Formats: sequence, structure tokens, C-alpha cells
Amino acid sequence: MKWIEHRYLEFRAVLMKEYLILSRYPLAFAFFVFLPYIMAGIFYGVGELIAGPKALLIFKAKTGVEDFLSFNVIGGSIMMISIIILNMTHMTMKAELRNGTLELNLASPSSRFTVFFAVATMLSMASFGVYLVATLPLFITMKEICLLDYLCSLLVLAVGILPIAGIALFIIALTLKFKEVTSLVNALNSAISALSGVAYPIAILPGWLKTASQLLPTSHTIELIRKILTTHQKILLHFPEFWCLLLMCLTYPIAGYAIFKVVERRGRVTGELYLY
Amino acid sequence: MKIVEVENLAKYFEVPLGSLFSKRKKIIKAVDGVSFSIGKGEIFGLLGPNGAGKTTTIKMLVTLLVPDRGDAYINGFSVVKEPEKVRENIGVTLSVERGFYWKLTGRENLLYFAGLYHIPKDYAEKRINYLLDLVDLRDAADRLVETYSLGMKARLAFARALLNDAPVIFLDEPTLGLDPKSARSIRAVILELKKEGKAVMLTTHYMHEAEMLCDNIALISRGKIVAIGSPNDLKNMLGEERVIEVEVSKFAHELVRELESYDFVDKVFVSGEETIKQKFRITIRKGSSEAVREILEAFYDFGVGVDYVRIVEPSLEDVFIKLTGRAFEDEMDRA
Repeated sequence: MKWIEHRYLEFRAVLMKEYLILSRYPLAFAFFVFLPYIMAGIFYGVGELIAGPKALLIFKAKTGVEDFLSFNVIGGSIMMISIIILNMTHMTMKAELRNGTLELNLASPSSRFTVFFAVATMLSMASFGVYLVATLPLFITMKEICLLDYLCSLLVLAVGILPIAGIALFIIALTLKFKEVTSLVNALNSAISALSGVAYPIAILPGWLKTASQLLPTSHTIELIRKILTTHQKILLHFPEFWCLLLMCLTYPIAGYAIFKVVERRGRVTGELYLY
Repeated sequence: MKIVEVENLAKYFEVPLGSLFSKRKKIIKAVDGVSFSIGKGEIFGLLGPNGAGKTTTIKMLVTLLVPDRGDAYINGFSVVKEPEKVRENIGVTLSVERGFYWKLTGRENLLYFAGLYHIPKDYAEKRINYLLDLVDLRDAADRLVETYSLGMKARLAFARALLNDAPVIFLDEPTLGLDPKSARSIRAVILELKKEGKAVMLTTHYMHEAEMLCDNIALISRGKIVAIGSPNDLKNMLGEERVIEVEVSKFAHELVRELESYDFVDKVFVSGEETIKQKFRITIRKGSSEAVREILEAFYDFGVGVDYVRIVEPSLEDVFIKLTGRAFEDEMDRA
């Protein structure tokens, strides 16, 4: 009973702290909401610049995509979520190192897992917010999407965020070990945007890139949400992408946490955990 | 009854030398087999210059670093084998300036850490109000920490260390860089903690502070404890030695050698800028007006004008100098 109470107190404290900090940067997420639309516009502009007025028709012929805007906005909003989680995790950990709060967190009797779980929960909630606001105009304007489709897409998003949180744990471990890994995080985000089928279907990628893209949870999340919204199929277990995501839900967070624990244990021995 | 027992604690760090791809490493003995104990209601000071191993010792005791050798017991729990239990029994301040979320208010910071220490919300709010009053921060409690002065942050850090009402409090340089008023208020609270029966371990390189607060002091140099005891016990180690302080505006290296050649002079230390003011600290084996006269004559013979001279009681720094052969400042430069 006491164990549960302790975890609850830790969880609530972290959640409240994260919420208060995020709420003091009111415009932090506004940009993320508009970015999928801006990106769709840029892609359209570049396409027209290269292929002329028939760009949309050529894109449709090559990819089979009927609705260019919704295709891009769905892909873009998932990419934004990935950027939010990975970048913010890295930035937060850097700030904890710089401000010395990491040491005080580690010197407290709190459970690391609960702390991470609470941070991941807050980031997931923020991500949901971004997805809801970014895709709501689509939901309202696209007549063929029903509420149940939309709710299903939210469920897929909830499942899809967990493996991203696992990758975030890996980034925390890298930040603790190597400190300055901003360029690596940026490279990872670029890879995610290039390989997850944000602006084009994964099917048009060459074979080896297609294989690489299967390792990214964002690829499956984007693909699955698009399928749900276009095929209206609601039994998620019928989609192979959903099984892949479930598998990643189990493996990525566990692997990320295990790597973090190794780095933390080693850092307590070498002292490098507290350097920046 | 001893609530903190430290047994032969040691920590070595590997420091890479040379370029990125060089495999050469140097082993630094940050802490090299220190042992001491602290009783309930005792203030224990770890006194030494920067780089002596004070912070590393504290970090091992609060479980942030794993010792390479030895062990320590906090309220009966081993820092090596039971770190989680140790964390429940300690309050910590590692830096007065760092350790806060700047975008949270002082109160919100304390509420956050109260959660990490498993303090239920209702009780946490009462305890936080009490602590804010104690450190005189009630009026600024709802301001963002980014607007706090260094003194306010120090007081907030102190309040945070007391949040969980732990029996053992670790304070790493609690008054470093503070204005005299803030430092005084922190020292007053430390003395209050002693009255409450808490064991307080603090590190400092301010000798007067250690002397004023501590029941027992360990002098630490280059990772080893060179002496341990009450401030009076430590000063008694100097026997009948006295210190003559002489301030001059001009400096002559030959004068130092001359003074050192006198049989009644034990040590001569010179501090201050060579081109501005110089302070000679001359330890003589026994206080005598004859000795003072001879010393002043030496200054006169070398054409060095004396601004002031006084005979002072030996301080803890003089004990440190006697035991290590080095001044605090020399060690700080080395660090």
C-alpha cells in the first residue's frame, strides 16, 4: 500500500512540475500545430516548381494518394509528435544536468521508472494535444471520416507514442553519457521524417530503406492512421502495422530503460553522470 | 550514539590525458581512505581547500557516487548496499545556486521535491509554509526562482534539504558566495537543527564558519583527513605557537629567507598581490616581545615599510599549514 502511495506521490509531483513548466511557454506548441500545414504547402510548392501544374496528378499517379493535404497533415503531425518527444527529452535532460536538478532527483528516494513514466505521460498528453488540434480541421472537413475512425486513430497514436518514449529513454542515456548529442537527435529526427512516409508512401522507397523504415514506430503509426481514416476498418488487430507497434511497445521502452540503467550505474561509479 | 559512520571511504577518478584518441589516463585520488563518525545533534565540518575531496565525500555519502573502497552507514544503512534506505534518511544541499527549476516558483519547487520524498500534499503544504518562514522566504515564495537573488536561492536550497525532516543533513558549502546577512541567517538555522537533534555535516572552506558552527572538524587535504577533532583540540595541536601578521606594501624575497632562518620562526607564509599589499603570516614557536622586535628589525633592515603588525591566536588555517606544509590558497591554486 505504501509502495503505491509513494509512486502516486512521485508521479503526481513530476506531472505537475512538467505541466507548470510547459504552461509557462504558452507558444511552445503553437508552432507544432501549424507546421504540418506549412510543410504540406511547401511540399506542394516544391512539387509544382519541379513538375509544373500537373504535379498533384503525377504524385497521385505514382503514389496512389487521393487527398494530398490530409496525407501530409497526418504524416506531418505524427512527425511533430516524434520531434516534440525526442527533442524535448534531450533538452530537458541537458537542462537537468546544467541546473544540477538531476543530482537532487537522483539523491531522492524516488523511483526512476515512475519519474520517467510521469514525464512520458505529460509529453504524450502534449502530443495528443498537438495531434487533436492539427487534425481536427481534417476531421471536420473530410466528410468520409466518422467519429469512430477518428477515435481509433487516437488509440493508434496512444500505442505509437510508447515506442517513441522508448527511443527517448535511449536519448536520455546518450545525453548522460556524451552530454552534447543535439546533432544526433536532429539526425534521428531527419531520418524519421525521411523514412516514416511523412510526405510520400513508404512503398515508393527502395528495398533497404523500406526495411529500415520498418524499425521506426512512426512509420507504422502514420501508415495505420491513414489506413483507418481511409478504409474505415476499425478492428485494429487486422492490421499487421498494429502488431508491429504492439511488439515495439514491449521492446523499445524496455530496451531504452535497460540502456539508461546501465549508463546511470556506470555514471555513479565514474562520476561522469553529473558533469556537463 | 553515532548516526553517520564512515569507514575507509575512497574514490578514484580516471582522467583522460592528451587528445581525443589518446589512451593515456591519470588516476586522481579524490578521496583516499577517510574515516569519521557523527553523532546525533552534532555539527561536523569537513574543512579543506577547493579540490581537497570534500564534495566527492559528500556525494558518496548521499549515494550519488559509488565508493571504490570502504563503506559508510547513515542511520544504520549502508551507502553501498542500501542506497534507497539511505536516501530516505538524508536531506541534501549540493549547491546553493543550482538545483532548481527556474520556471517554477520557490513554493512549486518545494512541492515538487516534497512529492519525490513521498510527503503527502496536505502535510507538505504545512511543512513548506513552516520552512519558508524559517528561511524568511514567505514573501517571495510565489515568485519564479529565475527572479531570485543568490541569497534567496541559498535559503530555498536550505529549505529543500529540510523538507523530509531527515535525521541527517548534508550541506555542501552552504554559504558559498553569500552576502554576510544571508550567510548569518543560514548559520542560525544550522544551529537550530543541532538543537533539534539532527546530525549536520557541512563542507566549507571558510575557517571562521567551521570554527563558529562545528562541534568537530575534519581537515582534509588531497583526499586524506589530516586531523580531526573539536576546533579547540585542533588549535591546541599548535602548542604554544603564536602567529604574527605583518602587512607591507613592498616585497623582498630575501626577507622571507631571512625570517625562515631564525630559530624561533616555524613557518612564513606570504599572501596577496606582489605589487600591491602583502600579508606575512609568521608562526613563531613561542610568543615573546623579543621575537616580535627581531622580526620588525628584519623588515626595517630590508627596507620594507610595515603598515601594521599584530599578534593573533592561531587559526584552523595555521593548523592546516602546520599539518600539510601548504596554505589553503596554495591548494586551491593546485585544484
